[in-house]
Amino acid sequence: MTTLSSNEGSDGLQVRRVGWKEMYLKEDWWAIWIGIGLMMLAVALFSNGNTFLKSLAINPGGLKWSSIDQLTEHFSNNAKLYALQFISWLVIFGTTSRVMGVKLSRFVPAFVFLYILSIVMFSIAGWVNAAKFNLEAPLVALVVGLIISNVFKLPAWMDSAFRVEYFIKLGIVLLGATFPITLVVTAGPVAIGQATLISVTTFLVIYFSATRLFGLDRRLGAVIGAGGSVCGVSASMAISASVGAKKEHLYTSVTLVVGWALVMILLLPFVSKALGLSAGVAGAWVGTSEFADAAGFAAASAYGKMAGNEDAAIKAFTLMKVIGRDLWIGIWSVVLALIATVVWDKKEYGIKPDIREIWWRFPKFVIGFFVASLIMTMVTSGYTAAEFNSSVKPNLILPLVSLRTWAFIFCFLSIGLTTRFRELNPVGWKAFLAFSIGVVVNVLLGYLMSVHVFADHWSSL
Amino acid sequence: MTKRKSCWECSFFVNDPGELEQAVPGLNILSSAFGSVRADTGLCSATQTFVTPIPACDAFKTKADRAINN
Repeated sequence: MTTLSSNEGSDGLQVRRVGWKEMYLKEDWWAIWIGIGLMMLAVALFSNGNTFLKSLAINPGGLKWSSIDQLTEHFSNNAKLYALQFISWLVIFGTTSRVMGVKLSRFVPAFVFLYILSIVMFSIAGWVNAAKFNLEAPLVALVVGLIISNVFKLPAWMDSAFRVEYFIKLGIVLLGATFPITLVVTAGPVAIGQATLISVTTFLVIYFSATRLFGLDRRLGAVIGAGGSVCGVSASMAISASVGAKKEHLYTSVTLVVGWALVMILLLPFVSKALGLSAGVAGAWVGTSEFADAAGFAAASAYGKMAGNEDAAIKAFTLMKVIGRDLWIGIWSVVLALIATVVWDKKEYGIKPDIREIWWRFPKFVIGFFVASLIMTMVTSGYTAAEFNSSVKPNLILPLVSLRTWAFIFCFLSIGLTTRFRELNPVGWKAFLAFSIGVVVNVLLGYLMSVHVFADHWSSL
Repeated sequence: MTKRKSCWECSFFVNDPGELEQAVPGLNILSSAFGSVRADTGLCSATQTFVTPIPACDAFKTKADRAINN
């Protein structure tokens, strides 16, 4: 292995370059600028009695159509609004993606495709019998995307517009606008405690299964451990740098996380339904059982719609996954770097731990979530319950919910459209088993805590 | 003052988000090279490991160096 230089840069051993430029180079920050921007626009228009954003946030998901004529009439009557909406999304995502380095020549045609497909997904969800056949939009979008990408072979350049993480981050910031800050304060500590216990346990199970039971490289153990217990491939990537992981270690994590995440998206909602779980309890369970925000939102949203309370399911999920797990990735990164250099062998794995990694790796979009929650709580606090229900909810909150739903549908479709099974690297049986043992422990422990120990807490959301 | 050489100037260091997503198939399915969590992490194609940029190691080569040697 190449010897690393012992020279010290001005920042210890690490040489930073991106730094604060991330405020326009990273999608987390663009999710904040766009999400907060849309929210402030909504508040400003609402304050002036203007319903433009309400019109622009149109979608056919709530139509409950029973004949094709109804559907075509809806699109015919609102063609200009949909055209304006499409252009708005195209400008917002196209411009920001260009700034981040994505080629517009690739982004634009792919986004046109994504938007049209999203309209189809909303239309299916808006069918009067959709719920009867469990045609929940998140699951339909995922399955349709998977079929298209694996049967029809879309060109890889179209991934330029299938930005799973960008869309889910924007969706989460917009979710903040409908998430009372008081709920974060009262329910957050339980979520953090529960998620931490489960994350640490799962990581240790995967790591020691991989290294002690199956004799795998400890860097691989750490990478797949983080993938299965913290926040999926993003966590694996962060930890890869901390422990000096090889490229193939991350390949393994990608295949394992994606594979199991897809299984969970499809399994968890139906198992929750079979068990008759309340939406909040199921949302919390999904929060510790799923590996990535996008996959988890798909599962939580799908079950929430089945249970007739999507709001409770995604709130519980957000508390558990975003606040309970995602926030702490920087700490995991520093701790594992410390372990790699102090407990393992500094010469072989030695990247000096840097406490500033806690900030630089912090998932910044969560700041947007908190800010949105804070601002909207303040804006709506002066209204009576009657005023809230008659004016604030239909003219301010619901348009933001619709915009959020658009972001989520873009995300769920993109998961399917980017998952090309033939391109995923094969995984050895030892790594598969080590990870799977962790998955089982993770799911069971999460079930025990969400469905039994803290059932009353999550049911009350 | 001469700028200290680091991974950033090395031809083996892959840090562009688009290139990273191509180098790791499936990275963009449930993650992203454009996210904050990645920070400055990139792929060193000399050692095939993920690194946070450090001062130049023994394998350091600029693009010009590699072009001459090729």
